[in-house]
Amino acid sequence: MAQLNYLFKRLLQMIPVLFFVTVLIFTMIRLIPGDPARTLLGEMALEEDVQRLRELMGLNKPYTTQYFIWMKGILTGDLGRSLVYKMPVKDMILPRLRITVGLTFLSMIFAVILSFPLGYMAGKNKDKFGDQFIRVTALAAISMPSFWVGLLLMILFGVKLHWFPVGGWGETPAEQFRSLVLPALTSCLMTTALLMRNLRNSVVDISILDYVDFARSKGITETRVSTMHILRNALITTVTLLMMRMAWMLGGSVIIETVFSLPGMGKLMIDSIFGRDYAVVQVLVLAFSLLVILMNLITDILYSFLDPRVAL
Amino acid sequence: MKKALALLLAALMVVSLMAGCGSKNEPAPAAPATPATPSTPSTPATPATPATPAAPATPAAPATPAVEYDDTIVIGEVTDALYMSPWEALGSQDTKYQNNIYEHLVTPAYDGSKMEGQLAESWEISEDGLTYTFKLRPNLKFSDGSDVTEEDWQWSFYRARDYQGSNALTRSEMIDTVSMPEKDTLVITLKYACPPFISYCSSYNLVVASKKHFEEVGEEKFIESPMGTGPYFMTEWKRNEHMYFEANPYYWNEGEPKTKYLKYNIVSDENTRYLQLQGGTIDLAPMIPNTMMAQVEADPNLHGETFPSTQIRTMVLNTTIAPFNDPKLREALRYATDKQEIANIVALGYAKPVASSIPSAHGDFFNKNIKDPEVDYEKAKQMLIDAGYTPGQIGGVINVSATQAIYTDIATVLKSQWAKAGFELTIEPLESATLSEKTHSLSHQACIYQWTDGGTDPASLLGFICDYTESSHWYTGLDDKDLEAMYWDSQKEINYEKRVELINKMQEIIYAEHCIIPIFQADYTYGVSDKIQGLNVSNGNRVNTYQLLKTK
Amino acid sequence: MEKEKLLEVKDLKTYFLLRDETVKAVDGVSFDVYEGETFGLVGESGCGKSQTCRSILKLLKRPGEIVGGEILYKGQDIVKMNKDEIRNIRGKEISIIFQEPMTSLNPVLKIKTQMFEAFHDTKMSKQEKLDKAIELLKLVGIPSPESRIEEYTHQFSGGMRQRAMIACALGARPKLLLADEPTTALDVTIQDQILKLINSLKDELKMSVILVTHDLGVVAQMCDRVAVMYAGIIVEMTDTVTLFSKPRHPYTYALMGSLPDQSKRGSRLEPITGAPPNLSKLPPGCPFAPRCKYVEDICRQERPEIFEIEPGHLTRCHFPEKVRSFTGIIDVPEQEVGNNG
Repeated sequence: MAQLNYLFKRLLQMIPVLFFVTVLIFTMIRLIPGDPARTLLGEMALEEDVQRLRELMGLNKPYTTQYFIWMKGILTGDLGRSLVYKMPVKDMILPRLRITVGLTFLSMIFAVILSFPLGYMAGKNKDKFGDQFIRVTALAAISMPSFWVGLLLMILFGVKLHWFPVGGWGETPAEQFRSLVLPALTSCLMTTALLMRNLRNSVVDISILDYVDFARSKGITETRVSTMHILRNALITTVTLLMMRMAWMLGGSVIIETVFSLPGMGKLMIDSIFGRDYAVVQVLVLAFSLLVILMNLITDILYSFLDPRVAL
Repeated sequence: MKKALALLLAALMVVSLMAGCGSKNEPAPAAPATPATPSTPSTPATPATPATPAAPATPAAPATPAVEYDDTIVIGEVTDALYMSPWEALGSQDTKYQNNIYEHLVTPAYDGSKMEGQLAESWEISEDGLTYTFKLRPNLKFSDGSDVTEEDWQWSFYRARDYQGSNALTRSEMIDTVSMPEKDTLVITLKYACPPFISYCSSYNLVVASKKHFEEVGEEKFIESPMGTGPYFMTEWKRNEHMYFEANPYYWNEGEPKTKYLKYNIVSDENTRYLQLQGGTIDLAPMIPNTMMAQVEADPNLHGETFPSTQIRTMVLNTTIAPFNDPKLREALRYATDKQEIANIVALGYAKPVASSIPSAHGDFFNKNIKDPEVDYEKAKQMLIDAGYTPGQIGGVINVSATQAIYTDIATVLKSQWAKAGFELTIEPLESATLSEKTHSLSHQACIYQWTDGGTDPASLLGFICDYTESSHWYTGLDDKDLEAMYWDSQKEINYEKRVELINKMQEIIYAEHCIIPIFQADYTYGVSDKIQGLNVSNGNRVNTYQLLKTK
Repeated sequence: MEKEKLLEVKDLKTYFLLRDETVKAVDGVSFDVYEGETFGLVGESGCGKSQTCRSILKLLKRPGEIVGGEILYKGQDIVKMNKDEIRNIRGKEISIIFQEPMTSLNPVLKIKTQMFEAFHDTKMSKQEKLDKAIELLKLVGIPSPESRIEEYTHQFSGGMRQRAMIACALGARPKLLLADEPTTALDVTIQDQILKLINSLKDELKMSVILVTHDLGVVAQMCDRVAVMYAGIIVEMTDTVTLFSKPRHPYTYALMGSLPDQSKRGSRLEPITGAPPNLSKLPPGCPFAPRCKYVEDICRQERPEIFEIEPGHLTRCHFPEKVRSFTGIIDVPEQEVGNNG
């Protein structure tokens, strides 16, 4: 019950924050130089065409009016129309969301599969060869720029071996899954390295605590000591870190999306900013803020379940 | 330890299992596909037949009967279309796709030398220049099988003239009436004489579309649901992913298109696109960076092809603020601008320097007599001194688009050249929206732009430059009322020779201003799979998709 | 009345092998523990008493290692046992409880779960386990055990946690309980309760206890026999009464001198001068030499061997005559000195 109350309280607190975000993004995007009409029509645009388009886009109305029109839309479920694509923003975001969410999840799964065993091994074999080797590899992984890694993977597994498609997003779910594998591998590197280091350090710190020895002294198997006592405690911060990384990744990754030709949220955000597509940028920023707030909330609640010492 | 290793191995196995799930790169071996028949090398004769000189012999048909062709060609493009409606279209970004569906009365020949009939077989212009009579091809149909009627022509052309959301109104605002007094004869009357009108008829907004179809799908959906008379019709469009086309069974030119399925993959990264070309996922990569040509040539399954273009990169200098407000300074710097060197370094030889902004493809309109002076750094230095400057103590800032490397490359070479004359050029890349804001407000000093003209008449570019309200004289801030008056005259001058003379003179005047300085005209460089045959690209960057063949 | 020997420690050596130095935490320790007795290991911090205990169950923290000696439990040498064999000893035969109950129990698992871990009979049903666990909690004196068992460590108070830990340790009815300073972290009143609890449990479960402490008062209260350790070796070992009435080592004597004594009201406390020894750089000779009031040259050069100065009373000093002159803090008539056979 206490958890429900807490949940409710946090959700209420969300509202003023989001409201503030709407004002902030509305103002900021209009403060930067550049205008959607001129940007859309490009270098060879005639001035009269630009002015006409501005009028059609509703850019000549006073700012407060534009703000209210937008807010009214948001509150009634109308996310507005993209100035560039002339499509409802909702229709634009949903397919891209699928890709970004899919990519994020797969990337997180890879990160977990790689980092948990490796982090644990590194922690258990502190300072021995295994530990050193794993840590050096992790360092190397973070140091490599993602577009380079992505291209390498594409060359090897796509062009030469034909195991995976060379960029692009497929049609059937099976194809789509395949097209996410290489991008997910590329983007999981940073997260893997972070999680691994965190887990390793946690394992090292926890392994020398008394309760681990006490547990052992009861005559339980070493496996149980590792899982119920060491990992169960070590993973608390690691899981929290994982959640935070996930929130961040759900904002999309421009580099991965560009290299692998995946029309995801990251690219949409960047393109919309460059194209000054106010309608899309506003909705995306708002959505992302909401997402981050929610992820924070979920993480806090999850943490309280994982660690009984923490009260909400 | 063992457990962890086991987990790792398991993960690796899962990954490789998925890999084994077959590769769908190579098109299915089976698929007999129309055994190279598109033989009937188009009958219509007459100026029409876009299947022109370029068609490097459709070796296809006649030749070895054993040659089998694929039924699908995949093209990799870096940008997707934004709008598939001719009246929303923004330019080549959309037209490269729309050209497969929508057709015009006339189109420029691939070398840009003259206008040829597309939907029209022939045409006549009245003495007073107000009436255009077109003889249409018989039995034109849309891709759903319905006939093209007078109503469709009227509706399409009036929409081109009246639709406020279009950015091509200047090319259609002069249309007065459209009618079909007899079968297959289209008559267009203008509100006033407009000599470039026949060139305007190849503009992307002057096409024939199905009024009925528009009414069926509604205005909003029309942008994504095109219907035309062209060689293909669109079967699927997943934005930023791909666009698929299929051969139009009712196409007026029998035997075309030669390949049944046409697919476009949108690949936003040049490197990835190249990898796809290499791996066979795509067969054609239009407009690859010049720097990639060597790689393409080196690959045993690929080759590069180049086509002359009308794309000219031009530097514009703002005459309203220092340092370029001094015409003597501008003229002096001409002597320090080695366009050939720039062309060599930046375009790796795939470009040639030009002196006039009007492309040479525009024939008589192109002023052949304008020539750049010989590059002479010492002379430039001397001229600067004479104008009262101290070489080594003068400088300026050039803004270029941060997203297109070619502009920064040009500016970099220019910087080293002008330095030899004692002028320090600072390069400041800006993001496109910020850049356009800056140039529009004339707060820049120098900038580099480009203009591509797919038509046969320089009217568009001249209008852009000379009509001060359109672009402040191409963002140079030079308001020359006489020049503008000359432009308006040329727009009304029906007499061909007189018009040619006017336009030639205008180029001289523009040249003497020394603020609009074209640098080079670069060829279009394409990366092509060795399986592709028959590729030709117009100087306005139109690809003859309907004539392409791919061997298996 | 010969009692069975439960545990025989013979010349145990446990060293910590660091990169640049070797810390000799336990440097040749031998003692026996009999059935049903409480054996004390007393000494100041760092003397090696905790590490001796941990060595018995091989619960040393890296980089500690047993480098020599034997630990015979019911005839089998623990030192030579492999992982599976030692697991059979742990919990079932020998258990250990630690000093700090807060950090000795897993903070994220319920007490119930941790108690279940002590039950190794795989045939027990959940309900049986629950019943047994509640019974154990009652045994150690935790009120409302039915609800308490579902709680977490941080919901218990200090004394309760210690009781819970004891309950876990006794889950499988071990024959020997190693209590490593079980009351040091508790306040005095609770301390007393816990010690009394250990005593009663010892009788009820017929267990032996090795009690590690630095507090002589605890020794007096709880132990039958005791060994005094210094710098990793035993310096004196005998039964408790004898130790307090007739200490036979300068260190032991000094320790007692530093105890507040009611009978000598007003007299000063005599702390032991000098600092505790650095176990990685022990000088040759007797480790107590730097602080001994009676030191002479030989002390600094030769480490004395342990020997039986009186029946059942071992000491390690070069000057037996000197030590025989020490008086303890209690007076005991000769005939009451017990025979611990």
